Amino acid sequence: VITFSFVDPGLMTLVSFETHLLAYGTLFSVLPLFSFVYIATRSTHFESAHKLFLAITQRAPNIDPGEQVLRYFTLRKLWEAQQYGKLNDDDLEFLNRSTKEFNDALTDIRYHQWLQGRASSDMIRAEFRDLAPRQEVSFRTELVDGQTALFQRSVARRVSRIGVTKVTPSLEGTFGAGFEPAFGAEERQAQEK
Amino acid sequence: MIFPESSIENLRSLGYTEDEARFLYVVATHSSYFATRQYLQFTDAKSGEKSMAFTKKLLGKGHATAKLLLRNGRIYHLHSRLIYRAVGRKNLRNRREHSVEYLRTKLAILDFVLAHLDYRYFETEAEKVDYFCGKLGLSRGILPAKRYSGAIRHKTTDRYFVDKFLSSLFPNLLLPL
Repeated sequence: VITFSFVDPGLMTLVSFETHLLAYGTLFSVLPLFSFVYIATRSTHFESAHKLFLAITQRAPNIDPGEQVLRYFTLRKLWEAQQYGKLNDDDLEFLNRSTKEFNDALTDIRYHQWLQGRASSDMIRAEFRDLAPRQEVSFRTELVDGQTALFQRSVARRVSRIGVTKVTPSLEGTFGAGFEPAFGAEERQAQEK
Repeated sequence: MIFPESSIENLRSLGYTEDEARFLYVVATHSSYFATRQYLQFTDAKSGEKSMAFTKKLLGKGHATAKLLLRNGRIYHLHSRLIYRAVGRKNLRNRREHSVEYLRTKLAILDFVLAHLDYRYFETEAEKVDYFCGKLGLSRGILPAKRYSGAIRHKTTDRYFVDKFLSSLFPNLLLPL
């Protein structure tokens, strides 16, 4: 399984992730099977990244296998008829690639049927669309340390809330009038003498 | 991850131990920056003495520079052309200076690689293009690309996978959406 990745740069938005997915959109659309890992030092964007991934990869324009095979048939027909002038560089590249890709008995039979008018373009298109395997895609997230402590201004202090008593200001004194501390009393008496 | 014998041997000939050479191979290939904690994790060592000796050696040979961060933290930038030549990446852009955001991203990538040394990574643009176009038979036109204008007018170069994020082949890994 081919796996792609993206490392969250730690920004507030997912704009860079979206740009990344769009750049890979066409490639993703032609792969029948792939996996994706979203790597980050915080889990903040994990859920939204997953949603964005699904939204973009599912809307990516899939190359229609039915149209692909019909294009191959058309170009092959021109090539075999030695009408080379009607083929440009893109066509030749496509034809070379497709000759390897569609190198199987069924495609060859269908080509000759199509050529002889025994199979219509619609039939070919529908058949090859049905034959195309469904795309399997997986997405996962991974939390890494990223040595983030090295970039922090100060160590974040954790204050435990357990056992902390809230202090409220009061007009009354903390100690009553009759309160006399035991320690220091002797010293004070000595000074009075 | 595969450690090519020749690269490790080249690095060892520069005065590094087996562990150090393997770590340098990972850093030169994937991040060009590292923190000492990552070296300790890679070598499974607890003592700071080992990392001290390693970074001292790197700095002494002029193969890396230390970047002082906040609160006396340091990260090391592997910039020597000799090191990159030793691992067969003499034109790698990782040697150049980068922004803090870039450093953070690269350190995160290195953390990921160190946590998954059993994965097989595509290490260069050529390897990725070869896999998708050669093995899967895809057209270059569908790969993520960036077009660069050259010094000569109307002369452009297409570069593929310029983001340099990791792509790898994970054996039998497929998780549901």
